Amino acid sequence: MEGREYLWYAIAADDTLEQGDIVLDCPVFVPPDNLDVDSLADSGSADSLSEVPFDFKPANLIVLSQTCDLVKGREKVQDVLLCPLYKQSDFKEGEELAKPKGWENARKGSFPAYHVINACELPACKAEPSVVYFGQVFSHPVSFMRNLVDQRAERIRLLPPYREHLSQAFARFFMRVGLPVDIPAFK
Amino acid sequence: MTTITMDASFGTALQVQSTPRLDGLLSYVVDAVAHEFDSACEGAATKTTSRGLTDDEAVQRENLAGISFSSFFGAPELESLSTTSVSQGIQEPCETEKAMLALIEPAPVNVSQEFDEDSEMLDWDMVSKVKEREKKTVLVTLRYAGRLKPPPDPDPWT
Repeated sequence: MEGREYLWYAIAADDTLEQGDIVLDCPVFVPPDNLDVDSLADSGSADSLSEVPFDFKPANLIVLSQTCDLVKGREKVQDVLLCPLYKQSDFKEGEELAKPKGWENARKGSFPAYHVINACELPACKAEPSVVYFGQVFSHPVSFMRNLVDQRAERIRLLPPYREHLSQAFARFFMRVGLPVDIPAFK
Repeated sequence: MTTITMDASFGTALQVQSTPRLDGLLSYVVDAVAHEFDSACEGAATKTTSRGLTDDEAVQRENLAGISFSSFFGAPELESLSTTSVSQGIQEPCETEKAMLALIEPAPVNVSQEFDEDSEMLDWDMVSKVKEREKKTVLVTLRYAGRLKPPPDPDPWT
């Protein structure tokens, strides 16, 4: 609307967690594919613990859990739900999202698993346009995430209504219905 | 002949009401039905008395006023209201029946104050926390495997 500015982002620098918070270089721990969970021993002694190698992959993650569930001291959840953010350069040549046209399709909502968010022009935290990928979903304990963001400097926080637009797209990805007999295309 | 059958759950809802309120509700409905019957008959293309009712309709009005509402508790059933005097010649609820049905509506559980939508919502603070599952302790060695990358997606339209 003319004369009004709807900012996309704000800066956050404390241990509050809100939906839309973007945490850079957040660790993602990936268990080995062949982990035999049933054989894991737990005798209580450090010498006899099973040793399991996990892959550690840093990623830029955005908080998808609802803000009301993350209020400090009144958390309704034990884990924060997170999805990764990718830039155009993160995609391999030939892939749809390696091309501007692919980003335009994603921006229009043609790719259910991807949601584009704007570039951030705030001086302290400039960022290029990113796409949130709902096909990868991670979770970390709330306390872990609070400590992590508290240790870091500033981070960007997606503001309403862009935040709600993201959560709506996230919900839509998980409520897709494949019709067994679809309506024929109109020509 | 038309039979109006009240849903059994409606009777249950009424039973939740406190007795004083229920008495008041019943007397309101009985009085209001007679009044609404009069209103429903306005404009009916029938012979009318000086009070606006046909003789048959006047008899029906008396019958309605005497309906026992104790039948609402359980599986209530209102016997038909003869529609011959006011019917338009089709088998559908007459104005009388419509007026009665409009008056008889499920009452909210909380009748002493205005209906509060928020009170119907689940209070999340009261939801108990999820019980923690059994934990096992393992020794995890972390190995850096590069930044997380998007997996190949040949058909992002789906």
